[in-house]
Amino acid sequence: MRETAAALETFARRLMNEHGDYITRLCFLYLGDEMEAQDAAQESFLKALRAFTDFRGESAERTWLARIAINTCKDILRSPWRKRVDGEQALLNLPDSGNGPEAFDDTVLLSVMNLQAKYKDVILLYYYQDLSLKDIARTLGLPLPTVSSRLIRARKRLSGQLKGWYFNEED
Amino acid sequence: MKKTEMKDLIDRRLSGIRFERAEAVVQGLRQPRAVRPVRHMRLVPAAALILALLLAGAALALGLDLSARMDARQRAVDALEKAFGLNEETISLFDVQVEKEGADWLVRLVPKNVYPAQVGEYQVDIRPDRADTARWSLQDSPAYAPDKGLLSPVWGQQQLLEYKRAVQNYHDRLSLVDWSQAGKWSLEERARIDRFTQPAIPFGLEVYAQETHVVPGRDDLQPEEAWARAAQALADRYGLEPSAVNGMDRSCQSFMESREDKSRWYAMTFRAPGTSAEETDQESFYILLSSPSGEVLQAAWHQPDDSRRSLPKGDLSAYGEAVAEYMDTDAFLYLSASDKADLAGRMTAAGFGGLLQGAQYLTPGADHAPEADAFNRAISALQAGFGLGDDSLALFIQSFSLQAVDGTPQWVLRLTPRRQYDWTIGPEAPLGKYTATLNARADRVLDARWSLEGVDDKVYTKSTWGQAKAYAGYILPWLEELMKKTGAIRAAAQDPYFLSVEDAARFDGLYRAAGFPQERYNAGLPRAQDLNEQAAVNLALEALRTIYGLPADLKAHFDLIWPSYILRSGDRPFQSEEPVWIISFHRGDGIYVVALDAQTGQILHVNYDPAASGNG
Repeated sequence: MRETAAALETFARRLMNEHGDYITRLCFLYLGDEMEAQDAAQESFLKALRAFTDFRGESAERTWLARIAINTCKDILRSPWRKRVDGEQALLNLPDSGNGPEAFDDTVLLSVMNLQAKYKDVILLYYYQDLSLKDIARTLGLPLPTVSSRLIRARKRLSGQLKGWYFNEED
Repeated sequence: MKKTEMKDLIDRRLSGIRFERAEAVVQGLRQPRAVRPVRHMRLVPAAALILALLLAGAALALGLDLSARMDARQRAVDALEKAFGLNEETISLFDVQVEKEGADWLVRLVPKNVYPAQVGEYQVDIRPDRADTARWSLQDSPAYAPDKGLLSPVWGQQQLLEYKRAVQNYHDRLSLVDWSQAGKWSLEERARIDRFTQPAIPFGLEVYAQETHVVPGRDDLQPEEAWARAAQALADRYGLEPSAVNGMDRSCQSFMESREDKSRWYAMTFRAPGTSAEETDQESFYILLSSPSGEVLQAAWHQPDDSRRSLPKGDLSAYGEAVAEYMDTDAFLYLSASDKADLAGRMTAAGFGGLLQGAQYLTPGADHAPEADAFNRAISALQAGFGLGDDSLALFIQSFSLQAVDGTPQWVLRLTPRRQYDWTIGPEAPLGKYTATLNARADRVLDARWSLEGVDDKVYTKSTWGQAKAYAGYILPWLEELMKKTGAIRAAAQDPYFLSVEDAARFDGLYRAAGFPQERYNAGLPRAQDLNEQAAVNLALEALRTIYGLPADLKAHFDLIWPSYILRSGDRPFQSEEPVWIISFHRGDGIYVVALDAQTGQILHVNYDPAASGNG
């Protein structure tokens, strides 16, 4: 019993060491609040580790964790009692990354953060998680055509806001 | 926007966010959360004893042998029913964790994807010498308002049941629709399906129905006109002959209306002739057209093989979106050095030079080594420097170019791992990227590097390389061999995602033989003394009937029954050091899982993930 608990702890530490920052950032992109993101990431790891029996290695660990984290964030977002968060202010409040906030153009991140959850899912899994459409479909439990059309619509919504970012001509 | 750009951007911008709760997670795993005990609901020890005997008796009468852990779970379920009215139906919305503490058991219920703040957590202490004690973290909350239904800030049994049944009702309604033909539905059929399913969308999930299929009205763009405009728009956007688009199959036309602003649009797909929506490895075009204006809202060219993607010849000024889409893929990497320079020149002339991200591509000429010679020397430099075999090169996209670096022409060869996602080592397989830089005459190697150099300097063998943190050149043939063999198993399987016991054993065995951890690749074959697959499935079905009260003819109601034989359960909640059978049962209302000792058949674990908690 004790040995198994120790093994689980070792596994937990390895899992958090490898994926902790990624999962916390993913949660931040959903929730727009760093403390809530830490809460959600903590909750996600606990859920994942307590339900380890359900992970059979069919998906990469990170994909498995991302699915749990996304569901956790959606629970928080769906709550009618949750306060609405200002994403722009949240980015300004971020801990110092050493570059200073003025070093960044937040247009892209804010646009992604402001997407509806269903579009944010596919954009983050496609671009940030680097999943194929087929694997996004499995991760979200959606038909492939739905994922495909959501990605198109999400890009459409982003492209309107990111025209200058996409077409950053040198001249 | 490329995948890597988005990822880099997020990681750089959010680099100040680090996960800070590792210790809290470890503590959470070690200790139960503090919840206050219920005041009025206690079983006297004698009653607890009688209950335990009754449960054990019922199980034994049906031929079931419950482990002590399972017995503790069942006692906790009963205590929770008596204290708070919970039953197996609502308990399915929780993750049930059973932990041994000395001679005692602690059973915790943590909500699964159901508003944790409103639902709270439950805990039951099972002690041999005292009555079972059930507690709920929100039991004294003054905010509990049963008369508010699902709008109550605290959810008890009444709300959980209402929510679970509402979600189930929605899934039941969805299951009445034959989605296999969705790609062929008419606009009228799509609208009818939405009218049937959307009214059942449960509390909190309305966000997923912000648009609905409708039938075009008299003032809308009409369907045939929409197809014609779409074909023309795609031809214009990608510089294709209209006949090329018109020669494709028209597949899947939808007409939708936004609930938010009542805007309307068509979504249409053109596919390679004779292919279906399931064939994602085939070329297709998607387009969204606004109605009634016919304005193109979005268009996309799905081409699974980036090397086959192309742009119009000549002036690109009118093809800005197509150029951006092209550069969003790996298509540019496949071009020869000469073709890269040609396209880069046309992009810059058309005002899209920003998409080249500052690189200056040069056309090879008389002052430079012939491209083929330069390429061969660059490849040789990487092979000599990093032990890359000829066959291993196929794992990478080989992008070759002549670039001006600080004003000096240089040949640059970049090897980037192909996007081959695999379920197991997948995109995280540590292949790294290789770069070789040569002078213009290609007679001097200026630089040769591997992005993972120094990450893992240990020497691995064919039976240990699975432990490597970076796959050096000598490991790649073993990786290729493993991918080939495991790929063949999946390809030959009836369902590549639900391998048979035999296939799973072969699949995981290959990984174990390469040094990957048994904890993760733990499928095996039953021993002579173990229950066979059919006996294990029957016993698991019996457990479902007994514990969840499912009907006797249960088997026929499942869409899929998936048995797995696991050599060692390791860190799984039931913590068995002996081989176990894990059987999952899939159907519309969710997924049931039963784990049993492979030899004795003792029930170690049951779990039900209903559609209401995200499965189904």
